[in-house]
Amino acid sequence: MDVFSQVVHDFSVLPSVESWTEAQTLFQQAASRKPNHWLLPVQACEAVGGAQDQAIPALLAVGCAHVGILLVDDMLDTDPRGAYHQLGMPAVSNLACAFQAAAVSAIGQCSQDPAACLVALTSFNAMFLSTAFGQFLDAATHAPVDESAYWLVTRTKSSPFFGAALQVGALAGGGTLTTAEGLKKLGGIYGEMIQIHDDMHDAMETPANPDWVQGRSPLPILFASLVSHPEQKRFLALSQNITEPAALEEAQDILIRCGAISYCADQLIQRYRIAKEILEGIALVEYASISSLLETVIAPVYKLLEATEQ
Amino acid sequence: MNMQDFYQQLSVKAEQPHQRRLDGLTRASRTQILHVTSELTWYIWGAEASSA
Repeated sequence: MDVFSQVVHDFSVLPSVESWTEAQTLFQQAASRKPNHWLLPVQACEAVGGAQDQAIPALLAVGCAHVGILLVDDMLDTDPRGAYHQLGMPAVSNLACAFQAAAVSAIGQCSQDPAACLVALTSFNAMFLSTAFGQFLDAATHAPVDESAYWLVTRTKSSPFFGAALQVGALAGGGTLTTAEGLKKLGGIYGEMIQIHDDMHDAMETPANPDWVQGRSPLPILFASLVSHPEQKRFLALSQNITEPAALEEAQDILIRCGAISYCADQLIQRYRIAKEILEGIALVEYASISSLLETVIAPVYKLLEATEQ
Repeated sequence: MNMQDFYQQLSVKAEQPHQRRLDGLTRASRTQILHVTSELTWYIWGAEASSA
């Protein structure tokens, strides 16, 4: 049984959940996609010398947290693909509360050491609070008005999840509180890298990503909208008609020419360097799994830079 | 360095290898960029991550 099947089983036997078909279905659907970030606790656990099995409760907690956060996020974003369309907002709000509680319940089982469990619970609770604030900011401002607002949303809404996921994995594997704290810090930077990467993808995909249509601003779009460059006015005009394929194509070309994509690449590289420095300062049994997380994000960026250097 | 400062720096002749590469990226194709970003896209807070 792989770890995703294992956590689907473990979720299904949680008190109350065993009789809750809708909760089980949502969790099964999410787990069937085998999200990469659910495995972060396993990677941290193994990095501190723990075995994969030790990380299962932490993995379950991260999975539950992810599903619960997504349910709320889809409602705040009025995402047409959100589960609330089938189940209704009241029921989905109720389910989101349940997933958050299930996550905390799983975290309580993540270690035999009560002190480690307490730190993990505190970390997860802080992550939930920060994420909720970040979601509120994101929804309230709709689109960030300036760059600092963008980074505030990223640091409150996205990065705490990744930090907590690595921290609880390290605690589950028997890592020291100091090591777990170091991995939490690294995870926060890693989360920012993932957010920038996703933003680049959202801005460049076709047809136009809902972020364009809803007037939201992934980092490249924010750059092209705010920075004074020769094609800024043209870009803003195209953004008003972005569902037209020709307008999207031209706007995406401007994103590249004006330096918005270059800025994202530079931001990714800066964070990669910071994360590597943090990693070098953490005492781990094996570095490969954590190091590969960073390399996987940065390798395509370096490859692209080399390909376009001439 | 914020966005505006970055743009100003990108506008002057690049001397360092890193700057030259970032400048070169402004001449990439849409397909090249999308290919790279598609290699690692997690949709962390998108419905794609949870919908069947």
